[in-house]
Amino acid sequence: MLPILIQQLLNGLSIASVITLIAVGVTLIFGLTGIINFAHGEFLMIGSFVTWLAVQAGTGFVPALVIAILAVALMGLVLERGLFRFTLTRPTNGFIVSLGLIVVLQHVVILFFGPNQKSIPRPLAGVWDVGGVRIASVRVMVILVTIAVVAMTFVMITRSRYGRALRAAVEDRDTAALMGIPVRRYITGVFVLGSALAGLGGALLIALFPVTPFTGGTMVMKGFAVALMGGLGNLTGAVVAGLILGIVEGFSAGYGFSEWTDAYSFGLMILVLLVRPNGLFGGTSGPKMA
Amino acid sequence: MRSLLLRSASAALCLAASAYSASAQDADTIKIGVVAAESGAFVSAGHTLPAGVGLAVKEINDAGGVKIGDKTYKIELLKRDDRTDIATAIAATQELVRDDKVAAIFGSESHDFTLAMAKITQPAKVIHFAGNSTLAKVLNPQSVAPGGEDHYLFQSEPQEFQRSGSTARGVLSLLTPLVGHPLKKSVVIVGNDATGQFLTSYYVKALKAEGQEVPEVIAYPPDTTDFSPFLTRAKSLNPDVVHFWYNGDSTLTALPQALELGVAPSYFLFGVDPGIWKERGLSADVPVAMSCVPICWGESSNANAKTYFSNYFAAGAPKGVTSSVSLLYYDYVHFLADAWEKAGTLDPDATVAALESMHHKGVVSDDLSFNASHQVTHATEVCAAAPGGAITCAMQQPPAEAPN
Amino acid sequence: MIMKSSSSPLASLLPALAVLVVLALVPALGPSNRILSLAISAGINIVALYGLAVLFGQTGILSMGHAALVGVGAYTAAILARDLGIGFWVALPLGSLLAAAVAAIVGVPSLRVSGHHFVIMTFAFGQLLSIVLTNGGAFTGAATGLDLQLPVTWFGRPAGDLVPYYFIVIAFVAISAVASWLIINSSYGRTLRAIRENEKLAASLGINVGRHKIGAFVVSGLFAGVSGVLLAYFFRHISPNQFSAFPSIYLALMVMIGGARLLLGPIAGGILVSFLPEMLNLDPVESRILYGICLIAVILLLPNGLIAGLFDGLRALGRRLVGSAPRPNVPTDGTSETA
Repeated sequence: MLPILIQQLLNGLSIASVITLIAVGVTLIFGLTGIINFAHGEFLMIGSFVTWLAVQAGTGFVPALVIAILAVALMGLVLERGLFRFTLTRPTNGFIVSLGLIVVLQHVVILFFGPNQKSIPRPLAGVWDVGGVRIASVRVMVILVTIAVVAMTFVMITRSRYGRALRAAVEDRDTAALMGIPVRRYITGVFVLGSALAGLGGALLIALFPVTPFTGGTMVMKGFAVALMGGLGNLTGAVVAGLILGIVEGFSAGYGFSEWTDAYSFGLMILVLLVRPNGLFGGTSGPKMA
Repeated sequence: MRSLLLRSASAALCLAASAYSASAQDADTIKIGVVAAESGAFVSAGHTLPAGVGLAVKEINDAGGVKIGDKTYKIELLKRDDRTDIATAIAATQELVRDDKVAAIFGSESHDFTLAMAKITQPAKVIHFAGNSTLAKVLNPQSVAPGGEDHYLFQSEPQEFQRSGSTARGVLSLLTPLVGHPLKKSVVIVGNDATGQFLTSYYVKALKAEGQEVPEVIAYPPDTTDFSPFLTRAKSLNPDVVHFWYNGDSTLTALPQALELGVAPSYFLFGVDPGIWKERGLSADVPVAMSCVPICWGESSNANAKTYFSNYFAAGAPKGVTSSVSLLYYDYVHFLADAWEKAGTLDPDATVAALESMHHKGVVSDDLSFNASHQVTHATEVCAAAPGGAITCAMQQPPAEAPN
Repeated sequence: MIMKSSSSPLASLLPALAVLVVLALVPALGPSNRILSLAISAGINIVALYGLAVLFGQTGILSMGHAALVGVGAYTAAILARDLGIGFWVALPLGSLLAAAVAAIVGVPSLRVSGHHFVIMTFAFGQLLSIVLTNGGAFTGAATGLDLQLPVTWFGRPAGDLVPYYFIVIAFVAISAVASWLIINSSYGRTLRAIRENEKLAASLGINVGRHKIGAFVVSGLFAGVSGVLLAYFFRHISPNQFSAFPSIYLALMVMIGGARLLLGPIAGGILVSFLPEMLNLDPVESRILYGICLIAVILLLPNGLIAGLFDGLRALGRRLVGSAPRPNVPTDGTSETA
């Protein structure tokens, strides 16, 4: 049974990497700009569809991935400038805008590409068999890309001047503005970065699984859950929380009462927040809701 | 004041196009309605209903219409989108039944919507066809008898023990020669929703009736995308066949993961058409069986199916995992038209009596009829793809009796 | 924070009552059964929204699990009818009380966890409940859900038809509106608002913040439970999906778009979100797109919610007609506190 146990551990890791990738985008946008973008899952879905389109058009997977990142980043720029920036002082209105966006984006995709599932050929088809444990190269790729992206984002946010200014802006927008920090431009920057991550996530998602116009909806809630469990705006927290959730999910599906799988993750989330009300690693308090 | 203008303009935009054209009651038409998801999360299954019913209505009208007595009627089809929302489905049914006074309603794709809709159609004596095998929970000889609460409700999908039995027989008979050794142990993986829960109980019985050992049924939450933990669990049981039982989209998501993990020497995919298999360029290094609800469009052993699907797709419907669901509705529009002609009246009680007594030659079966609980009987088509890619299909007749 | 009330509290109740009187006259206009049916669904939502408004608008706690509490009421009604033959009128208080009890449990973590973290927690509670219902076997009808056969009677006469049921729902909307108004204008309401505006300050003034927060949950649960019983007896078939994440998110959307602090807000939000799709008579997919765009447009153009926006607009218009110089814009949240 050891190979099965190791296999389940790897499965959990793979689940964790997808959840983390989404959570990193959510925690950046939600934690650092205060924009509650529930349509983040739809951004991801658009990334998948752009990848699918590009692959259909004959580009390889890597160019398709780059196109998806750029396309969703551009979409993020347009939507932030066009919609979300008018809601910065009222995060709940931003939330409503994002709910409207969910409906719009899902059905625009249906209008042009139909409601049916889309998939692309596996970009990496190899599967290694190590003593009965099967390791799919495409999953390894996703895990490695996730690690790389999280590391890069981490350096950008914590080490760079930009990142420090950004965190100052989160703590107190007015003071930061007085200090000459272009708060608005920073917010746009973070939103675009988060969108680009969603584009990347979408490309990786369709490399792993077929995607429908409704795929984003269920993903985003886990992203929000992980972001909050880890501490808003806290990348380390998002990674650790994503890892915990992924492994709990993997093991409960593998060994527990499988139909209760989601209940384990939600139960865990409640527990974590009860023990550490501001998330595992603490974070920004985010925008005020009421 | 610019903002005020803007506000009024936006209000005008949103209030525009609110012309609900009340269709005048035309003496020479019979109205029928279809309620299905044409937007929202269930759209991929939902849009096949109006497409299938619409095709049948067009054929009937093109052939002259429905002759009742010495009068000929055209059928007018009213399509209502339920937006994948039960409140809208109920409102649409109220509208069709009370405002439009339709003679019959088809739908919906979603089992709990159908049950709520039947609470409106039945007291109003509106004939209601729905392709949900879960209707077995309310249909029985007493409830469909005259005066019973579901006298006008018809289940246009076979009873689940029949579908399950027909499918299990087809799967095992097609896979055994391809695998090359007897298949003894089956693991069933199923989505934990209403249909999944209902269907599985029958399918497991059907597998056992065919001599299979079924050590475990693994249920997954309906929105699952990463199946690897469930699959690894199945692998630990060393099955000969893993059955992905309901529904098609999830099944197609799970299969590549199962192949990577090397879960079993053969698989069965519920509700995946060989057409999708070919269109997506799927392949497997082990035999894979797939079933259609109820007949396949990509490859079929049924001669009628080819003509039907070429007409269906020619009318503009997209090719999808659920395209064949339209056949749970198409045949019954023709059946109903025949019943009206036979009854010689639109009277609902006479029409139900005619439906109960008739045999209809349809696409899904040459001999469609309703049993004492208003349920149809027909086989379910199963196809199998050999590792080389060759696809063979077969329709195994369903068992006559439910296994114990 | 602006806690003024320019006119007597009664004046703030009158517009809501006037609207309700108008709505009660709707059946006389001979609306289509589709409209009537949607109106009943909207009314049932509005009852739940009044509960959410006490929680969110007055106390400042957002719940994304409100539909689950509605579900508690609905399942209570269905199970009571199935197992004990208990009908509509008895199920109403029982469903309401049980939903309130569950709400109290959901509210307990709010003592420790606040803000967004708590929002996601209410969401998790909602999802947990729908998973429990899905896996509840024969008792909850599992994923299939439950049927409800008992008729609704009104003074001994069956009231299951659309028009009588519409009046029953309108009556409960009216009761909810009046109850909310009583809460808003009571010292209890002022206490809740004090907590909303500044929890620490409220605590330092000797307010038992924790008890009042849970109290607000209980109140919201009472409304949700009534809404659930009304829903079960209207739909006649309930299943776990109807009470999971997205229905909860849509309830939150309705209360925010109408305006959570105003008495007319829930009515406006409930009607807008339910009827907007009806006005867009296009191809189903296109009309969904336009629906989303309209939601976005409404909230960007009327950032204080529909009703506050409407009052602003009327004020602006009034000023223009009178020709006086426009006053600087007073923050609307406060001015229309009790409107």
